[in-house]
Amino acid sequence: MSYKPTNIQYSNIHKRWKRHIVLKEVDIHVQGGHCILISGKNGSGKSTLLRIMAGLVKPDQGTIELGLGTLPWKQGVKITQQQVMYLHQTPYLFSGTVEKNLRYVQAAHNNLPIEMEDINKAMAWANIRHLSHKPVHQLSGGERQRVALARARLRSPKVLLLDEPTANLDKDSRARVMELLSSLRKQGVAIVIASHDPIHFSSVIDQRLRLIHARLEPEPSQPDNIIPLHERGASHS
Amino acid sequence: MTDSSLLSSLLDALQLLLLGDGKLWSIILVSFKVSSLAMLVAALPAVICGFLLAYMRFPGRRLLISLFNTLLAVPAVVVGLTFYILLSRHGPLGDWKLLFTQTAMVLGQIALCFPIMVAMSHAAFQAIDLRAWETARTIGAGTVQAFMMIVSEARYAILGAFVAGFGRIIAEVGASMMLGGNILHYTRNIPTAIALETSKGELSQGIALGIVLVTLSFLLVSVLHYFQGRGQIQ
Amino acid sequence: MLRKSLMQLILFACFLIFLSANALAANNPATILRLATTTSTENSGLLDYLLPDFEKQNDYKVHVIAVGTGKALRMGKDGDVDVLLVHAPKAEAEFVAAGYGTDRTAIMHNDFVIVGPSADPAGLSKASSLADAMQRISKTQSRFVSRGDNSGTYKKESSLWKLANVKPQGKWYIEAGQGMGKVLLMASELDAYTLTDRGTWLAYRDKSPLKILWQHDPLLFNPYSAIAVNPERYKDTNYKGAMAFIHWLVLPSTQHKIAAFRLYQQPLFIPDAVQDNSAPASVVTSEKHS
Ligand SMILES: Nc1ncnc2c1ncn2[C@@H]1O[C@H](COP(=O)(O)OP(=O)(O)OP(=O)(O)O)[C@@H](O)[C@H]1O
Ligand SMILES: [Mg+2]
Repeated sequence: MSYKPTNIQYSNIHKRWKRHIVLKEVDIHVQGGHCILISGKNGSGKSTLLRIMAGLVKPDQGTIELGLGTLPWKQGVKITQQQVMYLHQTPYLFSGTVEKNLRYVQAAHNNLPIEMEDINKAMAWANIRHLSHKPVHQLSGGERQRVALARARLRSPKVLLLDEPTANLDKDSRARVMELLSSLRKQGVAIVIASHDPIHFSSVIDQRLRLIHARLEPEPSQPDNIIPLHERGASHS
Repeated sequence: MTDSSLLSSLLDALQLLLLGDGKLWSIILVSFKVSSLAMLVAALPAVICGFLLAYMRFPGRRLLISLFNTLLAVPAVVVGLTFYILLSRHGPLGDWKLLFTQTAMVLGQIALCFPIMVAMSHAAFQAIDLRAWETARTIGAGTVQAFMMIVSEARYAILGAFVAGFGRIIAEVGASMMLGGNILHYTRNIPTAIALETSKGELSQGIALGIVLVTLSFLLVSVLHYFQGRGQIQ
Repeated sequence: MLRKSLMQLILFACFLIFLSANALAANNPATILRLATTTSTENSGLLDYLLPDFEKQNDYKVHVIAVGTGKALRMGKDGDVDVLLVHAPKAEAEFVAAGYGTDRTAIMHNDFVIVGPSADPAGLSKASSLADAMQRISKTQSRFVSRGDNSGTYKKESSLWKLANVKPQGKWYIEAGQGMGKVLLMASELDAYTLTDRGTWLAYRDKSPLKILWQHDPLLFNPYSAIAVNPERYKDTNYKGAMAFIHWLVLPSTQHKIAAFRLYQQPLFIPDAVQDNSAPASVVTSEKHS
């Protein structure tokens, strides 16, 4: 692929499930090396937004701009889909062993040279090496999450969308996620994290957004508990 | 029929099988050739149909699902009759000259096993989480690759669909009789031969063929149970 | 692993194409002659005995489709077969008259017999004629199993009831809707009378407690004719093959072979096309080939 830094502008996304409007006039700009955190209450639409950006859910409205001008959603998403990876809130692992799941990434990329060595490295990094021959249905929640992270590292996408990546993780594993995120960010990967406890991510976050009443709004960069409520509107975005 | 004649028919049958009666084995071969061919043609499209019905949202989807579920209950003779009318020289496809050929039997059997395989693979795919598809796509798989990953996830249930489809056609007599015409060495298969031999009073031939069929069904069902058992670990 | 399954898929497809080519190749219309005939001819083994000679001498592969006479005529009418060998004189005549077939040629006959329980509750052994025999069955309400299909045997049976002026209905009259063999088995189980062709009866004789109660009656003769499907109705029927087959059937050598055919050590068919060695084949209707 090209060395051009990733730069995708999603504009004017609307989405409703039946009568319930989840997203309204949402704009979001992802850039290589830039990390965005989206917070919001349960059911505020964080997962929906990420899934829309990943091309897994079709929005009712929306456009994509890739520096080539504005494209209608259908066309734009075809291009971005190949660069974007989405990590489910609860990861899905294919039946079989941990190693097989990582091999699948390799198989899916048979144009990309991923070697057994890379698979081993990814497993070692996610601290799942000792689990490599274990059938996935025997794994604990956190272990599953780590397999999914190893998969993401192996895939090394241009844009990584993480849905509650630390929900099931202990302190040690959380640290590893942060490590992954900062190293990916340095490599120029664009990152979007959806989480309702944003506190863990402060070291890597460049921009904080919040989903509220179906709209995506900027949020103060300092932790909420320090900033008095009346000053919120004045904070920089 | 008395017990002793049942026993002697059974012994005769075993003898026929073991001594390799040419006629008998030709019948068995026709059965396998025709049914395997039907399976080969129908299996992949049926799995794809089942997949589309499970994963894609399009108008008429529910109607199609009910249609396939209805079709799988249609008696074989009705399917046979429909194809007979279509393929007869008088019928719309008469110019193909397919009636009383193996091809006609294959067509009839495809029509018989296709709906059951669609319905069962649809159920198989429904049991697989939508996230499996999303994950496949998101780790970079193309449509075909992602499809194959999902098939692999549902493999035991899909195998079950194949076994059910094969079971439906290998023992089916109505459509084969009508479309093939029960021509020796050409379209006479196990079920039509059993029908014929018993009508002639050649019970040992019928029993020999019955043994083959029962053995086969037993093997198929055992294979199915074996794999389903394995699939249930999860 | 995915690449492997893709390979398998491709192999699968190749195999499939190979097989279907195979299946279609076996279906070459030039050398195949499709003969619709009655189950009785096929089941007796006569065709297995005769056809290899014809196939050797004439380079045709005969596909025998054995069904009831009604169905066989229907197949001829629809152009689904090339030649018929059937036994239903009246229906055959209508078939030819309607232009569905040509070259109707008498080949041979066998005969029907009436079988029944050896106790003979209807007293057929005392009957003065076939009509009387039929009347006795209906009068005594003795069970009678009928084919109840569109077969030549059923047509024969219907004509016998008509001859006896009896309308067969009631509890005693059982319409089976089955082949001859099944009907004989049913009649045996039910201690009933039935009309059967001699060939099928010979095959079942040893398994059945029934016995022949009426036979050798000219009214029970069962003449077989061969009919070519009219090539004017269907351009690509194998008329040439059909005619070759009919001509071959009436050859003295073939007719002798028919006469020599034995089922359970008993002759079954009496050739009709050659009365003695020199007589020419008798052709029932006028036709265009001769
Ligand atoms: N496939 C769907 N069909 C119908 N409604 C849906 C669907 N997916 C999500 N919703 C609804 O859309 C709203 C937003 O859901 P979403 O999963 O995006 O929330 P979230 O912000 O990720 O919540 P959480 O913090 O619990 O993960 C919810 O009210 C949910 O019920
Ligand atoms: Mg969510």
